[in-house]
Amino acid sequence: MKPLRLEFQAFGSYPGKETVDFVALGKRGLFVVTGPTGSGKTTIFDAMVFALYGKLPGSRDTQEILPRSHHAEVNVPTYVQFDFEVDGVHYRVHRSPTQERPKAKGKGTTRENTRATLVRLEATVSVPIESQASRVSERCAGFVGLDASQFQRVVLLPQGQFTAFLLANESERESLLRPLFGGEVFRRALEWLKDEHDRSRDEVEDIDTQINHFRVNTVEALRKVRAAWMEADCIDDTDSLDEAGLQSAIAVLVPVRDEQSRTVHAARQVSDNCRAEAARAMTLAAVYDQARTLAQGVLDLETQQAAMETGRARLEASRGARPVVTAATAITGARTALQQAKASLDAVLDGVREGFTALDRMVPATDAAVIGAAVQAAGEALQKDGQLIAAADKAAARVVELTAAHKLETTEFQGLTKQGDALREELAGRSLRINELAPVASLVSLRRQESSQATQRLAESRALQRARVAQADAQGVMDMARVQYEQVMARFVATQAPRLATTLKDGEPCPVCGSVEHPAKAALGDGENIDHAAVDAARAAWSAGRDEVKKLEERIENHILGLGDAANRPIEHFEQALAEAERVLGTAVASEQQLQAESEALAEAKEALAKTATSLAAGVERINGLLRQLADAQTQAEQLRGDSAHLDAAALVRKQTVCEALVQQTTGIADLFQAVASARGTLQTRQEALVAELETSGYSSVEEAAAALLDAAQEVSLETAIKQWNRELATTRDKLDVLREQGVPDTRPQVELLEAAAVDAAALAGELAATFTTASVALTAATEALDNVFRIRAESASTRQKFDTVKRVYLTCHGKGAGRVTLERWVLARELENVTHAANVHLVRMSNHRFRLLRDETQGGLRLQVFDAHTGRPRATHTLSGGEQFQASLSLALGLADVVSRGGSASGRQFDALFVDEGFGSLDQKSLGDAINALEMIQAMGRMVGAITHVEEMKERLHVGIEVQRLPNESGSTLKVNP
Amino acid sequence: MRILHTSDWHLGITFGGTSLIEHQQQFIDWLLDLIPRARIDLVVIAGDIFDRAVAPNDAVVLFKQALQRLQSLNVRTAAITGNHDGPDRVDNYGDLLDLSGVIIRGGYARFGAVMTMEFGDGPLDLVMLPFLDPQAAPADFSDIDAAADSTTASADENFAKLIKRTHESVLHSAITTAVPNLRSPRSLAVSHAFVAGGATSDSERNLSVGGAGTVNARLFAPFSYTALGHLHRPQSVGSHAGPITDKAANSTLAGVLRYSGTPLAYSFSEDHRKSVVIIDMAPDGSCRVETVEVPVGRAVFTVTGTIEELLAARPDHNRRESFVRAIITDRAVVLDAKKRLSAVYPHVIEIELQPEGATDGISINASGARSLSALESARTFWCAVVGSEPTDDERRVLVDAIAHGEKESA
Repeated sequence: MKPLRLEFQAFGSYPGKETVDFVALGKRGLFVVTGPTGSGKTTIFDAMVFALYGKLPGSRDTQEILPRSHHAEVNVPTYVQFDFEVDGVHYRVHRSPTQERPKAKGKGTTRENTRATLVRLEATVSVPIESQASRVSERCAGFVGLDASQFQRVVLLPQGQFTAFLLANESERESLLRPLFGGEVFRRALEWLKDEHDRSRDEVEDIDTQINHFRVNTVEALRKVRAAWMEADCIDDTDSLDEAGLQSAIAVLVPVRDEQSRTVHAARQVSDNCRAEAARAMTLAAVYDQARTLAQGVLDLETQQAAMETGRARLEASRGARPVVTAATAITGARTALQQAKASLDAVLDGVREGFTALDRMVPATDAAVIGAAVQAAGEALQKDGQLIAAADKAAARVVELTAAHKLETTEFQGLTKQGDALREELAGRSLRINELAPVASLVSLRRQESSQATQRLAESRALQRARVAQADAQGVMDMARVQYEQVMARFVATQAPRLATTLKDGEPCPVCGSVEHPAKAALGDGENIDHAAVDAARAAWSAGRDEVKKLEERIENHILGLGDAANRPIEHFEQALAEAERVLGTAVASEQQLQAESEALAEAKEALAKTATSLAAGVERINGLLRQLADAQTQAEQLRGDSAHLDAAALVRKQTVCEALVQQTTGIADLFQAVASARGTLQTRQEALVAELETSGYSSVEEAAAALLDAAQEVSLETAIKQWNRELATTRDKLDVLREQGVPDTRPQVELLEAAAVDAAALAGELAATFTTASVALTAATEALDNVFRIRAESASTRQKFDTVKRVYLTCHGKGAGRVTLERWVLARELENVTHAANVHLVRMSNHRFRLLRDETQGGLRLQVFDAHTGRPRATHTLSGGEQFQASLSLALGLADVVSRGGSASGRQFDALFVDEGFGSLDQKSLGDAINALEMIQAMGRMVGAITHVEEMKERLHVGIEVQRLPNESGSTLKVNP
Repeated sequence: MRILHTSDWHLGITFGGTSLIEHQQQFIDWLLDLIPRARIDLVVIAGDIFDRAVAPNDAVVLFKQALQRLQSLNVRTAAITGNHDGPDRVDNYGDLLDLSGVIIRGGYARFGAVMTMEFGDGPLDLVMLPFLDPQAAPADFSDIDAAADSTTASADENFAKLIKRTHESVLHSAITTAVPNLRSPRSLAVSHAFVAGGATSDSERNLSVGGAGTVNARLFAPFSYTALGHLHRPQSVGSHAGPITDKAANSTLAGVLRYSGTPLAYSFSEDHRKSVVIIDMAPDGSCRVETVEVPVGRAVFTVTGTIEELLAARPDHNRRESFVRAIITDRAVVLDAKKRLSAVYPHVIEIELQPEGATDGISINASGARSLSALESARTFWCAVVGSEPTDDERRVLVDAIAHGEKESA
């Protein structure tokens, strides 16, 4: 690839558009790229990478590089356009990143996606190749023959890494070679192989685990069979058997199992027979026992028959006595009711007697109507006495009320009197002040006039001063004009002769001397031609000055006249007079305002005094009214107190209470009298009924009947017991009869012996069956487990075979097999061999045939040494001097570029451009000279070499092809390209 | 008057890793001895005084001492800078040195100036033409070619000419500027340039890539003698170019153009004799030229053969004192070749191994580095390590592994 032209805009540290013509620079071959540190020297290279691959080289320091220049104006879009040549064909790639652009209309920005185009430039036309951004990158990589990381590695020899490749140890060198020669592919392939091997191995191990599991199961099962059957002792100890032995052991055990099966069947038959016989015996024994129990029950019931007969007789006697006892009980009730009614009536009559005694009245007769009338009369008398006492109390209260009202009114009257006195005093004070203020206030208009005059005089004085100054100035101007006029006049007179001479003509007589010949005409000097007009002008200026002075003098006179005697006083005098006049005017105005306020206050006070007088007259009237009412009330109260003097209010209250109690007690007294009469009637009726019952019953007395009587519960209990006994006896006899009809054995059968025999037989049969089941299941399990062993072994044969292959490949490729080197290392070593060959083309030339790079086959294949023709021996690379290291490193870099570019899609591609980024600063003088010589040699081979540096001597010895310059104000950088 | 012409001292240079400063000192001692004997009036050094723009200190000191001694001999000196010199450094004190009879010129500062010097037999016009980098011209510099047409040519055309500025166009401008000011009957130009037709050596640095940078000999036609520097081999150029007609000079004077060559051999290609030139210039500018061989320093030569053959040689004293390049043709590796050969040739400084009959072992194509696919690489690896082709099963596993590696890469 050969770079032709690079153009970029708003990219990296460059805000504007920059163009690098590599064709022109290429004529130079070797050139230097300079500029201050960090100004964007490598950005030129970044722009190429971005154009081709759409990405930026991995950040060289920690800072991330963005394509868009942050110095650029918003409306300047970022793009890179790169022209390059491959195999004689001219390509152009143009790319812009995703960026914000100002909207075409309106404010704000719009996001523009990344775009790229790749075209082939022919003589007159450009042929589009690709316009999809990612495809453009792929196509570029195809044309260039390198992917992005290879390009960066091969075309730019970057800062600090220049000698790294030469001096690296093997693993470092491996990691440097890996991305260049697709080492990643092999590394991943190796990883995949390891995973595949591990996975395959795990699979085989799983299978073995399964087989072993089933074998152990077989052995265990057969051991169980042996333990169960003595007949199984015919086989050997199973632990030591192989799979075939296990299989034949199982074959031997199958007939043993059949024999055991028959034995178990026979034992089970015997057990069943024994159990049936025992069951039959047990049934008969139960019938025998039941019959005996029933017979005993019948005997027991028959012994209770006499007791049952006695009970029945007692029940009938009790039933005959019951009506007699009931009638006797009813008489006792009626007697008690009569006594209670009498007691209630007597209690009320006692209360009536006590009440009337307390009221000091005569006790009435024992009759319901009489008692009621007496109680009503007593109540009415008490009410009349109460009303009299209440009237007397009310009159006394009225007297107290009126006395208080009179006292209040008197106090209020005294307050009003005081208020009147205060108002009169205020009126006198205000009148006095009004008389004092009036004379001062009356002078206000006079003072105003005085102040205005003082102002006028001050203005006059100032005008006078101004006029005097103006007059002095005008005087000066006038004097000057006069002097000028005199000078002009003098010159005019002095130049009279030459002026005259100008009017002379040959042959005409002179107006002064009359001569017609004018041999020596006076001549005018420069600027001496003064004419009449000039003289007139000077005179007019002087005259105007005089007029001005005169006018100002008149004005001054006028001002002095206005000011009179004080005309000569200074301005300060008038200023002070004005200040004094304004101060006096201020005092007069203040007095006038105060007088106004006092007059208004006086009017208000007069009005208040009139109101107070009215209030006092009304007060006198109210007091007199009150005194009249009080006299009337006192007279009335006196009379009432005399009328009620004999009454005791406390005793009256007590009697009222007693009277109220009497009313309450006597309310139901008529009913009480009636109740006593009714109770007497009832008692008599019941005594007649008892006599009738006794006759019917046959008992001689009430006492006899009462002795025979049972209570109701005893009667029911007795009757129930008799019925129960009858029913039980009948039932038991029926059951016994039924059993006897069915047949009852004479003796009880031997149940326990028969049952023991049956249990023994069942136990024997069960034991035999259990052993058989255990052994039989174990034998089946053994058979199945062994079948699994054979099945799995057959199924896994191909897996095992595949594992063997993978393992072989894995071990070989990982350097653990026949060779001691991994696939990746081997491939990289082979590529390094190629690189070394290519590098030696350059190194031999640079070192005058002394040095040549050697790859050490014995040490993993990636170790580099230098063969020194002087000694015929290899040397370690770090033993080279600085300049020699530079030569070797540069050769390696070139070799790398040669080999990597051949690895592309087409062969024989060469990189015609190489950028060496720094690495010069650390070289000493001699080494730097060697380095420059080496670069010159590369150039001589037709390659374009750009050395990015700021080492002074490089700049002096080599052509400065590209100069990066900072723009002012830290606004980015710009490029200067010197072709 | 008599002029001594030398050039390309390259003070501070190393050869095969060896500093030549001692030999350069010996040369200067010899030169200063020769000058009074040869009755030299003017010494001319035609560029490449130092080997590097930033010369090492001992080289600077050596040059200063040389100038001091020349001055003490009452000989005038005229020196220019060459492409190896840093013009600003060397010319830095030029004005002060003029007072002492040492004239040093570098860079564009006094472009095309003519300096007339008085000698016993008459005046001499001296034109100093140091090596001028066309691209390093100051901003206000304009070529005669371009300026001449500026009234008629468009701005674009002028610009195009500026871009096309070459060594020849710059030199042409300088000479065209100088020629009208030549007043004396004889003139001397001192120039550092690659005159077309000159023979080169390995140790010269190209003035520009691709052969450009040569200038036509006709440019120097106006001068009686042109003292050239740059080419390391002493030689005359352009002397048979026939009558020269030049637009600017319109002169038929056929001057003498000569490279003095280096005083010492600086590469193995310089196996010729080294010399300085002495010019006897008549007042009318006609020249009689002779060369004086430099007797100091080491000659160079190359020997070829097997180590045994080389060790068997019995070289004479002259050869023993020379710098030697040994091309060893043994097929086996030769151990300690340099050390062993030092016994025969004490100053062997380059060893080259060229096994007889071997193809060039370092050619890229010969390395047979055909690029292999990943799978082919894996197969090759297998054969190399196991010693046989992989079985079908093994091959299937390898194919799978590589496929997985490639899939994950993509």
